[in-house]
Amino acid sequence: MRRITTVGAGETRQLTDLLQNLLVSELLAPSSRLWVLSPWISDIVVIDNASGQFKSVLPALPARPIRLTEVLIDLARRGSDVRVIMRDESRNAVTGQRLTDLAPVGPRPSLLIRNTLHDKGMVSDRFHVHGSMNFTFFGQRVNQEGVTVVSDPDQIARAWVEYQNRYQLP
Amino acid sequence: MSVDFKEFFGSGNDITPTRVGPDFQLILDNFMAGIQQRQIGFLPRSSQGRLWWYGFAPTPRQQRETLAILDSWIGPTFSDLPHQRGALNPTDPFDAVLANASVKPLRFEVLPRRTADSEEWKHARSRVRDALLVLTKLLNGRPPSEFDAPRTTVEVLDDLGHAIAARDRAVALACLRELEATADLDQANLAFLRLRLFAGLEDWKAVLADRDLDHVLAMRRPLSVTQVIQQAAYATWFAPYDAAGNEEELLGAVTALPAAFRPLFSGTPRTSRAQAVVEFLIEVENDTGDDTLNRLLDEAGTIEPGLPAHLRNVLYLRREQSPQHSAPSEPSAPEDQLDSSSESPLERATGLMARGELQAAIKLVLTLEPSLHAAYLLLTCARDLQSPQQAALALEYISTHHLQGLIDGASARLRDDLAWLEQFTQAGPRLDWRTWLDALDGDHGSATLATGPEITDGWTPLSSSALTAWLHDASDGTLGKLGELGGQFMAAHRDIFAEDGAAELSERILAGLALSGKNSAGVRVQTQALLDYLLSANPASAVFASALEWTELIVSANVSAVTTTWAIDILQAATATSAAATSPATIELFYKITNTVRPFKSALNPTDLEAIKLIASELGAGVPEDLLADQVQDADPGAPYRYLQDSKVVLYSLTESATTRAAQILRILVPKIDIETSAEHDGSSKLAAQAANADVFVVVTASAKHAATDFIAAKRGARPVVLVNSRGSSAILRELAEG
Repeated sequence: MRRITTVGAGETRQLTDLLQNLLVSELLAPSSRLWVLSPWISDIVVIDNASGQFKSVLPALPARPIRLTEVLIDLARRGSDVRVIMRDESRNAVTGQRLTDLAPVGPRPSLLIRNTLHDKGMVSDRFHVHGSMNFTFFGQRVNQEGVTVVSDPDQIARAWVEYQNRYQLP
Repeated sequence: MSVDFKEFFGSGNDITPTRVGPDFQLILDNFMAGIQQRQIGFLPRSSQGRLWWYGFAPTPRQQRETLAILDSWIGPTFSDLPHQRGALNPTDPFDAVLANASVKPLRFEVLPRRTADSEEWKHARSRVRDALLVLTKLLNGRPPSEFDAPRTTVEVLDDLGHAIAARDRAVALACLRELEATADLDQANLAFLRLRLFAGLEDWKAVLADRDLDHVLAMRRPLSVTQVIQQAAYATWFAPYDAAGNEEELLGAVTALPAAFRPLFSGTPRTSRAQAVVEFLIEVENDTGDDTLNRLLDEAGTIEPGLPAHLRNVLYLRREQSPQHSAPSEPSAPEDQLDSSSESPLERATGLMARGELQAAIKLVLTLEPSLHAAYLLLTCARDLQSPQQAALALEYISTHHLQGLIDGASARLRDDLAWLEQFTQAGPRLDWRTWLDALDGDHGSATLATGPEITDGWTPLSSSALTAWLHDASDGTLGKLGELGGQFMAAHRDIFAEDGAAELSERILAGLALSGKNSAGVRVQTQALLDYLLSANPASAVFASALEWTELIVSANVSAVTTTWAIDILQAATATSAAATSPATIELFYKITNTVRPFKSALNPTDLEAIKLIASELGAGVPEDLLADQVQDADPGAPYRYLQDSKVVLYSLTESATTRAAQILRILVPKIDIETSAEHDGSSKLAAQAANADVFVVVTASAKHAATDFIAAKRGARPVVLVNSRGSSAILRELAEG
């Protein structure tokens, strides 16, 4: 388990690196499921591949900053059950649209709207990130946030039980 | 509740709301608004000079309550309620439409009818209208019932225990839903509880189909939950081959065991054949070393003498298939002689932990230099093993070498494990069922009494003799406390009551339930189960009479408009044996129970009334006239069962009183039915023939061995089996009425 706090003075290297590492590992070996819970969500850059530094492990990754929706759509196509749970907010509309419109063919992430959602997190078979951070520009770069990363199988399993019971798609 | 008001004030009703006087219009508006808001409301219908009122209630329970209140409020002076009991007239097209509603409206006619020579009908109509106005104001404006408040977690868990002990799936699932909705339990704990419940019902398919099973297998779980999953895996994949001694098939089955079940190796001493077989097979498949396998074989020998040889054959077969292995060495070499020179002791201990040799790992670590790695091994092994002795040794090592500071600075998981270890090894008596009973006996130990199933599941049940001695010596006060809090206790000791057939034990628990004065669904299903055990054990006449007296007290405490059918079920069960026919206590019980249900007579359904008549004729007693007077003249109690005419029906349950009664009532209600009851053991040729030939086969799963249910299902083939999840004849009849 690891706790990361950000002070709101610009992008925090620790947090950005963490998200990047977790999502690159997912692209390399997709989990059977990956859920993103974020009341407010925007299409933030999550993998910095501008100089093609991931070319050796992910040759198909374009040499440019990669956005959250692109990763999620790609994971869905690779067989992962990707679900995004968010509020029905106008600020979320663009991300919601990209997740569905940019993936008109083949599997794509499922969207679930919960207007009372205040929980934030991302959970896969091998990690659980949770804390105060929304997956937004402000969450990533401006606000003071506290985020915890868990890799203990016991705690990940407990998180799945909790999330599945709370946010199961009808 | 949706009522089509346009249709109601349409054809067949002379009243048009827009054409009546403003006062009446306002009344109708208020009634309609109330009905739309799921409150109790009334609507009038006039046709051919006659006036009826229709009462709408949102739930069947409120409908029954409304009928009872109308009975007193409007009464025989101004209505036909005493004769018609609010029933709709199926021959009236207007009523036929209303009869399709999920909760049928109540109907009564305002009396006296309109006549030319008297004005009394006007007076009656105005009195009824005023009375209904006041009645709805009172009903809808009353404060919410205190019984609507959520029950405490301890109360619900107690009921859950009773439901598991009585194998009543419906009540058990209702308790679980209540816990999900109101209790402050996290989802992982609810998942554990659900798995324990399915295990209590011996529903292994449900355990394996549970939506959270994959996650539970991935997480650190209580030992009792691991054992539940092991039992389910055994029943599903291994039991048939293990019972038949077919080692080759057994080996094939372990290959088919899904990978998710491989972590089922608990590393703890095995206590049942299922646990021993599952863990041994998993270790064989994992290609574990000889030490572990030899230890497992030794442990298997303490469970059943022939088991090690059987398991050893499986191992030989496995090694024949992969010939690089030799047969297991007979006497296992001591751990410290198996050292390979390249491995450090700490690595060796880690290897032992990974192989599930938890005790051996702890033993080795205790001899090593203190370090964080050593603390990690000790904490992990002690927590998985859950052995008080090993936990005490681990804690002593950590304290002696002052490792707490190191652990605090390490990780949350180690801190959590240390906190668990400290709590687990806390000074004081070890908790078990004996200390729990001691706590019942005195004013101390309230914390012990509130212990949840997570803890109590690990306690070893008392022996039959210890339980008998305790119940014999227990005072009335202590028995009353047992009746109030004994749900989990009963779930843990169910087998003693069910298998030994000790009538006195059941009588003592019935006394406890009666003395507690408790009113709950758990108490009701437990009473039914205990009566069943008691009656099937041929009780002495004194025990029988005493049990009936306690039962009568339980019925008085539990009877209400929604439990009358249960009260009649109890009466049916208590009077269905030969002991009942000769005991004067039986007839007393009959009169007491019919008297107790009398205030709720409008809630008795036609089948209940048939049952009362049947028992009365058997006992040579008279049925109270007012009960029969309430029977709707043109109602046909046999209508729901008419489809069974000319069919061969078999009712299967080990509770013979319930099937006997249900069969008797069905014979009365459906004249041409061919009905048989059965309590045969699985595998008997008679049961096979019954299962193969019946048109309708009913199995009371709450009172049937799992093997018998499977046997019947196999003999039925594609033809359906009607499963009844509760005891009692009413549950059988209800299931059949629903087709």
